[in-house]
Amino acid sequence: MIQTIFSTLIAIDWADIGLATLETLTMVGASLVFTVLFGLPLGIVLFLTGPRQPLAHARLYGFLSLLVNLIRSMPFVILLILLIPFTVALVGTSIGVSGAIPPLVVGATPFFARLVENVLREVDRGIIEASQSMGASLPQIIFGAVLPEAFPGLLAAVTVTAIALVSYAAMSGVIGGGGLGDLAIRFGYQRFQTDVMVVTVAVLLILVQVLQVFGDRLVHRFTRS
Amino acid sequence: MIDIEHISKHYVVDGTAIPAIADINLRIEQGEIFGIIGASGAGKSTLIRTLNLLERPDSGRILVDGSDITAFSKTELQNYRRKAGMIFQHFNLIGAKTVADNIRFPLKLTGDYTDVEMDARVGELLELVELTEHRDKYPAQLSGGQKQRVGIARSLANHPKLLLCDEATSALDPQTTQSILRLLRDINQRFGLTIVLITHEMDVIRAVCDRVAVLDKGIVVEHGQVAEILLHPRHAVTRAMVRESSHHEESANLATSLGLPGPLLRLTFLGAITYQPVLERVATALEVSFNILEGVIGRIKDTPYGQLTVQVIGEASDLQRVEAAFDQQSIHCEVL
Repeated sequence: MIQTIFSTLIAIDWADIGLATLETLTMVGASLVFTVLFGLPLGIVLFLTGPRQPLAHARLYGFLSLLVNLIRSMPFVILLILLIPFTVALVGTSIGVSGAIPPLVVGATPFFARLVENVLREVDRGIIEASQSMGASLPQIIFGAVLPEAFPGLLAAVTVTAIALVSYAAMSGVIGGGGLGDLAIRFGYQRFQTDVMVVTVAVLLILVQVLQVFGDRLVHRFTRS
Repeated sequence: MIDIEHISKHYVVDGTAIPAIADINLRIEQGEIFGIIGASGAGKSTLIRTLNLLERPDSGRILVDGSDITAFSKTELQNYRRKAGMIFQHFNLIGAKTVADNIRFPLKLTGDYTDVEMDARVGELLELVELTEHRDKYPAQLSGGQKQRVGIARSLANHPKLLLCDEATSALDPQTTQSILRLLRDINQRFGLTIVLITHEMDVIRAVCDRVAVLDKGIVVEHGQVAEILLHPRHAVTRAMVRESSHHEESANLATSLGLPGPLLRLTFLGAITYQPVLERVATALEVSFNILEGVIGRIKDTPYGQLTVQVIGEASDLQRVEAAFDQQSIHCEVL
């Protein structure tokens, strides 16, 4: 029994697994950066234009909210396929690591923005009010008070998004994105190599665990209560 | 300093307009501590928040040193707010910033100070509120009283001429309340700062205020010197509040509940006379006795005062002479 497991493990092409893991990390890392870059401002706008907020604007909020819901309600596999022309126009290819990043960003940005909106809403209104009473302008309130106050919550939102991106990135293997998902599809599924499938799943599991623990540590590090 | 003219504000709840305050007119003088008292829902929070336009009134004007703040542009309003500090019931400190950084925040907002200047000012303020050794702590590590001290330091950072206190002691225990009130009186005297505070506690009014307005259902029912309002409340709402804070019964009920026949007098002392043996003197001079039924002796801000309900025991004709005798001593005397 142990011998079988052992010989199976030796038979696996670890270089392939290593390369795929690296590709997955690249996809997740790059798309996370862009997701935060686009999602944070979108989340702030959602927060500010929401009901009873400093820039309450029912129509703009309704429109953005609808857009966010629209993308979020679409299964990611469908989004991947729908976005192929857009991806090709943007990065010249729809496959491999770079072909996966645009749909990953498009898929994760609304998700992250919604998380940001919720985190900011949790910030005590009294803090906004106190800042107003000190004569703070809106940018001063956001950057000087609300974002610092929400920082641990935002870190938690980034962690959740990073983990969602790991699963999205694996899914992109279906349409030829690189990484562990690609490996699982081509070897595990199409060539019936169950061992590869199992190892891929194990690596993904470890990746998610590491992200979660690391994220939790950061949140803890910046929580002041 | 502040003229509140015909201020009204309503809220819309489920499609119906609910008036919060209606046609408020008040004048707040430079350097005084002005209290606004009322039950919850009386509109006092709305009223104080119109003074820095956290709530914009539907109609009316608020003149501060002659300029109408409701007509201010955005920048003018921001500049005005920097000179009008505010402290809150729940402190509203930024939890992610240290004590020192919370106090530094309003200084940073102005963009007028260098880091060195800000450090110096923060140091001064920490000393003023006696929190120097807590400068690097976070709000979550402080007690309620300490948090409010940070709030006060923060509100004073830009040398305001006006301080608004929104139920600043309502979340604090009685002892801490006293120390915060002492601090407010201290800064009022030291910096000549005008303070407007709202509270539902008569004790707060008694301890620090010069003048008071009583708010009920969005309307000022009575306002004036604290001693006058406390000792001779005219409106039913004020009377109920004063009675509650002194734990006294309605005086009409007192006589019947005690089954006393004799005339009852309510004597009001104000100032140094409070500590004189006046009852003894009158009793000896007129050969009557007094039966003290209820009473309080204390201080309104710094002025000693007393209020006693006494039964006069003697001839029926003595009552007028007794009244005259008290009158002569400048003691307010009221037959119940």
